[in-house]
Amino acid sequence: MKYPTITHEKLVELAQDFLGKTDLERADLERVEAASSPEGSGQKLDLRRLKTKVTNMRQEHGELLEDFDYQADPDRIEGKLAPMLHEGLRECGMEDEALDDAGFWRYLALANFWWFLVWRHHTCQARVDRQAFKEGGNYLRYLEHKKHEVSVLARMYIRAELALDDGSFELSWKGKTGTDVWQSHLIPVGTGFSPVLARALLRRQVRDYKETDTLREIAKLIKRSNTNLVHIDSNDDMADAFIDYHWSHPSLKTAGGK
Amino acid sequence: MAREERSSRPYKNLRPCQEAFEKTTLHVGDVVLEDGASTRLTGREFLNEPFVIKFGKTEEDFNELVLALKHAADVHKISHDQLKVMVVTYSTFWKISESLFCKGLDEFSLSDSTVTVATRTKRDRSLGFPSSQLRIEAYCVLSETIDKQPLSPYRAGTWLTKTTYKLSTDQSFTGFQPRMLDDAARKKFGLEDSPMVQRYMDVEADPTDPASSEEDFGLYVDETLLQTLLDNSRTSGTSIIQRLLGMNIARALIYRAASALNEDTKSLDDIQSSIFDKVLDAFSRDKNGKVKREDKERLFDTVKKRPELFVAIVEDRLVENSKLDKDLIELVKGDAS
Repeated sequence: MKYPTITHEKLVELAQDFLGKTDLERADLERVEAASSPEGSGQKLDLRRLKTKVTNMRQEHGELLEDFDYQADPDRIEGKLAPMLHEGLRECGMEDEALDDAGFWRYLALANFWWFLVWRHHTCQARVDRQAFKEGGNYLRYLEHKKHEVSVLARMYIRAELALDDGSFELSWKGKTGTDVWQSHLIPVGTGFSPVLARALLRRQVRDYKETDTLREIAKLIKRSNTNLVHIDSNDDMADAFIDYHWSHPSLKTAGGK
Repeated sequence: MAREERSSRPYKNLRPCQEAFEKTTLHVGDVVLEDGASTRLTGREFLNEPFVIKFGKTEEDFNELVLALKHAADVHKISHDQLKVMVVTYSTFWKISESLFCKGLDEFSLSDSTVTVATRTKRDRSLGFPSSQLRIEAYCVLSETIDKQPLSPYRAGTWLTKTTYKLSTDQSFTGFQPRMLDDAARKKFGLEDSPMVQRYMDVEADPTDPASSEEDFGLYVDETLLQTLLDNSRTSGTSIIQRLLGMNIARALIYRAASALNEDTKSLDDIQSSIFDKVLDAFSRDKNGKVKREDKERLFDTVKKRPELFVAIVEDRLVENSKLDKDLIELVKGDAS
């Protein structure tokens, strides 16, 4: 399959030129297309279905920003849009060769998701400092697809994969203020290798919410147990029992365990 | 310290079967990896070479392994049909894991000691991501939860023995290329009012975080000095300064790692694949290049408790390898040109 890519060098050059913009204009997008180069062989990857999803994502994003339950919880908005990215790419027939190519994700970031990445960047900044990517800022990490927990698109894709349960992506957004869960306790660590275990943790957090400090203690206990365990053959019941055991572990010292 | 005696491995009497299991090797084409080894392949090799696991170098090794596993099962009152031998892959970026081989202990004991887990044409999905590091682990695992007994595995999925191999097409840890400490960098680090600073170590990122990469850390050198070093790359002065700068960044990284490890009580498994994991690997290899788990654990503990000792070990190795001591003495005596 032939798919578009952007080199890291081109990404740096284009991103520099796009600094200060909250969304890209037609001329900018034409520059992205001109700078892209095809990789792979055979049939060309048709990204039209993804583009339709992106349109839907923009609309959904706007609506969520007006929704009281979501507007103060950008991670939850990310979780709500993650399945749309995942489905869009799957419906296009994206193959693993493209999934594995950072150049393809750099292309996606520039050609389709600049608006979203700038917004997500805003939400990570102090309120007084909120603005589009700026000179000297550490914005490239959102675009260059090197680390999966800061590369927003990569973590959204993984999030959807982990959350998907019997056709439903609900666990991707059901928990509130999930930044720590996703970016510290699931995606970068061993738990993320087991969707069954990840979903058990998400289910429990939805049912029995723990604040950051307690959750960190639980995550440490889970990591420690994981050093002796292989979860590849775990089923839902086993994963739930494992998470339940750690959720109410006697060593948890945070007052009230909340 | 033996693996089963660590606090994170609260099980007794597993050392003999672990030692027998550690004779398991991974063969990728002509490359042979022993337990704890890592290698770098080309993308083509990664995607095409057969992957073969050999449970022992000889049939005798294999038979000893089976006996050791059965003995461990008997000691822990585990029925042989409650144990299975598995090979599991972990493709790190997209978090894809798969079981490539799984047999109950009895069936395993009657089968071939050599298992081909991937051929050129038949490859599971996790082997299709050359941009990610691929970790392959072989285990003997408890297949079901049994009655809890002191110092014995009981939970389904608990491994009794384990070996690990890492494959990557990435550049391994190769040290740090100095970056220019110019006005922009000085501003970034708040050094505008310290124009005479000649070098700055950017170690704000956490080197024990598996998501960190070499690019997150910076060895910054004053732009005039760096240019002079580049223009005079063959002088012994440049050579000495380069080695001293290498020690500076190593020292800064070690102290940063020590701080991160103590803040977050991380285990060695928590930092797997991080920059600092690679540093520990580099200082835990035996003469055959194999990472010795026990040495690595000892170094890991040293970093947490006495980082200055690990700094000294690193400096000792760097000085020994680069003969810096001799060059420094010549410099002091005025013999260096």
